[in-house]
Formats: sequence, C-alpha cells, structure tokens
Amino acid sequence: MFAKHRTTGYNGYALAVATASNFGLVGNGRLHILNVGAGPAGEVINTERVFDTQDGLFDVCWSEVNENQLVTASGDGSIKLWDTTLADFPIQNWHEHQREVFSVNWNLVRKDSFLSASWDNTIKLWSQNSPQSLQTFKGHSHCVYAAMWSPHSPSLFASCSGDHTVKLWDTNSPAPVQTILAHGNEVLTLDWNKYQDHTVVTGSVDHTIKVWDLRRPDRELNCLRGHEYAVRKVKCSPHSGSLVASTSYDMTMRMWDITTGDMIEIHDAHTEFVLGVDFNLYRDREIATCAWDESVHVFTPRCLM
Amino acid sequence: METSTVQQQEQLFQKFESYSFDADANFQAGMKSIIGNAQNKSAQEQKDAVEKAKYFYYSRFVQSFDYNQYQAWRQLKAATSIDQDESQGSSAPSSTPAAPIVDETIAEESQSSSTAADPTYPKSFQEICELIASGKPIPGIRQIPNNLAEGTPSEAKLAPKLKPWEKKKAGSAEESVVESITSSADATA
Repeated sequence: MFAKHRTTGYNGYALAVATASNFGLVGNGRLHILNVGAGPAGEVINTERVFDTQDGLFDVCWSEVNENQLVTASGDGSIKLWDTTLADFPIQNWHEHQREVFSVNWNLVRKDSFLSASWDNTIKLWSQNSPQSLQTFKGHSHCVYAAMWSPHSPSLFASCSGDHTVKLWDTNSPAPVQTILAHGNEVLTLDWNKYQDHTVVTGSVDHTIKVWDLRRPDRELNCLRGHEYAVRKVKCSPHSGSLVASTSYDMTMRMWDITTGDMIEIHDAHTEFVLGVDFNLYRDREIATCAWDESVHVFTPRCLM
Repeated sequence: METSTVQQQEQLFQKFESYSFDADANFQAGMKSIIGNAQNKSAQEQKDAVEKAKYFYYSRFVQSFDYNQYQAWRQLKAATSIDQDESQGSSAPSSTPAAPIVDETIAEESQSSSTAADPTYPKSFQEICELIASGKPIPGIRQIPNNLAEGTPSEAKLAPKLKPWEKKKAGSAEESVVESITSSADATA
C-alpha cells in the first residue's frame, strides 16, 4: 500500500509538511496539513489546509499541548505558530534568528517549550506564551542543523552542527555539558533513541549514520554505511528501540536495525533528494517521506509488513 | 542571493565546467553506481543523473556551490547569448512591473505544464533567475502580509496521550497500571 501526494510547485521538507518553492532558493513557503485516510483503492491523502508564508519552510513540529497547533522553521529566520482551526495566518510569529532556521522541536516531557536551531550558530528556547525567546545557547562554531529534546528528561537536549560536533545541553546551563566530535564532516541530523536513555543517532555529509552512547563519547557504538550521499534526516522509531529510518541526497529513504547494524529497507521511489521522514505515532508500521520531487509518500515498508 | 556574488560564482561555475571528471578515479568509481541506478531511465534522466553526480562530487571534494544557481547561470548564459543586444544599450525597460503578483493557481499551472520536458525546473525558473541576476523583483512570489490570525486560537480538547515508549515503560514498570493507561489513551484516539 503506497499513497502518494503531490505538493505541486513546492519541494517537501518535513503529516504536516513544510515546503519551499524553487528548492528553497527564492520564493514562498507553504505549510500543508494532510489527512491520510482509507479510500476505495487503498489509502488516500487529502489536503486539509494550507498556509502560505513569505519565505521557504524547512521544518515543522506539532505542539505537544494542543492537537491543532504546530510550529514551523523558516528560511528568513522566523518561527511561526499555527492553529489549524484558523485560516491564512499564524497565531504567533517570532523573529530573532539572524539566518535560516533549520529545525524546531517541541519538549516531549515538560511540553511547555520548544527549541529552534539556526544557521546563525545558535539554538533558542521558546515558550508559546512568551513574545521573546527564553534563552539562547551559543557554543557551535557553524550552522546548527538540529536541536532535539531528550525523550527521557525535561531539560536535556542534543544539537548537531556544521562544525562536525554533537553537543549535549541542559537548559539549566548556558554552556554545553558535553561535546562529541561526531563525524569527519557536517552533521545534518540527529535523533534520540526512545527506548535507551543515553543513545542518540546522527547523520552526516560523510554519508554515514552513527549510533552513540552519550556516556562513551570517545567512540560510536556503530557506524551504518550504505547511503551514497549526505544523510539529511535520521529518525528513531517511536515503537522500537532498534529501528531507525534515514533519508539522503542519494534520493532514498533507508531503514536500519541498529542492534545488528543491518540495512533492512531501501525506499527508492522518490526522484529527487529525500529530505524528510517520520514514523506514524499511532499506526506503528506506517512511514511518511517527503522530497524535492514535490511528493509525499505514506506507506508500510516491506521490513515492517 | 546577492548580485555582488554573481561574478565570483561565474568563475566558480567555469572552473566546475572545465574540471576533468574523466581523469578522476574516485569520481569514476562512484559513477558506476549512478549509471547502474539510472539504467531504466530515459536518456535525459541519465544525463541529469550524471550532471547531478558531478555537482555533488565537485561540491563535496573540490569546492562547494549552489546547484540551482549554477543551473540559473547556465540558462542565463544561453539566454543572454540570444538577447544580449536587447538588454544592452538602454536602461531597464520602464514597463517592468514593480512587483507583479502572479495568481498562485496560474503559477502552478504553468509549472505543471512544463514538467514533461524538464521535470526539475519550472518554466518560470529561468525568468526568475534572470530577475535575480539583474536585481529586479521576482514575479510569482506572493507578498504574504506579516499578519497574525484573527480569531481565537483553539483550546486543546484531547488529553495528552502517552507516547508509545511511555506506554511500554509504564507497562514494564507495573502491568496492572498499563492496562488502565492504554485503555484510557485508546479511548481518546
């Protein structure tokens, strides 16, 4: 079963999908709220709502406190909070970052705040009720591509950067509590294992994915090879501690068993860079991907059938 | 994109075009898998795959640059060799609209109609790049007011659901508890 949806004219980045026209080069962005449901010939994807933005959108994250709300990261440095019950415009707009915002991530434990990571080398902490950011974290010497909350702690988060490092932070401290020289090239993405407290997975321009135990920062537990170009996104399954999905500029989405290090799936139906992937939280075998081919794919990978 | 960088980029693009990919053993090794992947594709798609591979390789190992800007430069180069006479001499045509707002549905139609010939770049792409290069406003970019939504934001109705890993943790901690948690979580689904 394989549902496709075309986001015509927009190149998919993150089933809310953040998109940018003209490959994020110039032009507008659009947030697509899609509804995946059953149709007569299998699954169908319908557009529930779209929101247009002045600049391209690079990431999106659902609110943890309101099922109708979500936050987006924009190429012009702005961060917007949207309510799907209200048309056309966001309900909040913050503009503090000096450059592109590349990731947004809602706190999974306290649920009262979210993080943004920017090409201005900083990470900012936000509360949806506060007109200004609560805190700015400086320490990376290059673009920060992602800042992700630990699913196990209310104040711990990890970030990855073009400076080749992964940093671990606690919101109670302005400086990083740990720095790992993670890859030999830019680290574009990271995610936390949901079932092992100290495990994070990173993906890099060096084509590899690495699995880390943060208590042993000298060396990765495992290095997963297979992608032929930069790894753009890694996601740890919310349903299994051993399952990881990754996307790459090699136009594929791959899945891995991190306990064995085996690649267990290659999804090669996209015809352009695959930028986004996520697991369905509630249907435990369903995966969604989005790509620069202006398409969203929702499907059950063979390895989970 | 700033127009001041255009000249630097031009040099970079020219260096890229004259790079000897044939003599680069690392690149040739990587090419085998690219060609293998593109075997069932059309000649144009294969050509695109090779060109993209060159870009990736050069960007990673020699000097990085923006592929879209390179494409734009190439298209612009092709275009200016035709209408150079027109654009030179007189200053910018006074009839150029300041910031034409193209209806979105029209923009989408023109893009999808061109997809058969060149799936990667919409018809208007070259025009957009010419405008970028000349510092003119770009048509097709809608001016989205920097407004906030009117009306009252929604109130959360669903009780927070436990994440799958929280359910499983609760389950392993105490089995009798997990039953009530999962059933209440399912009830809100």
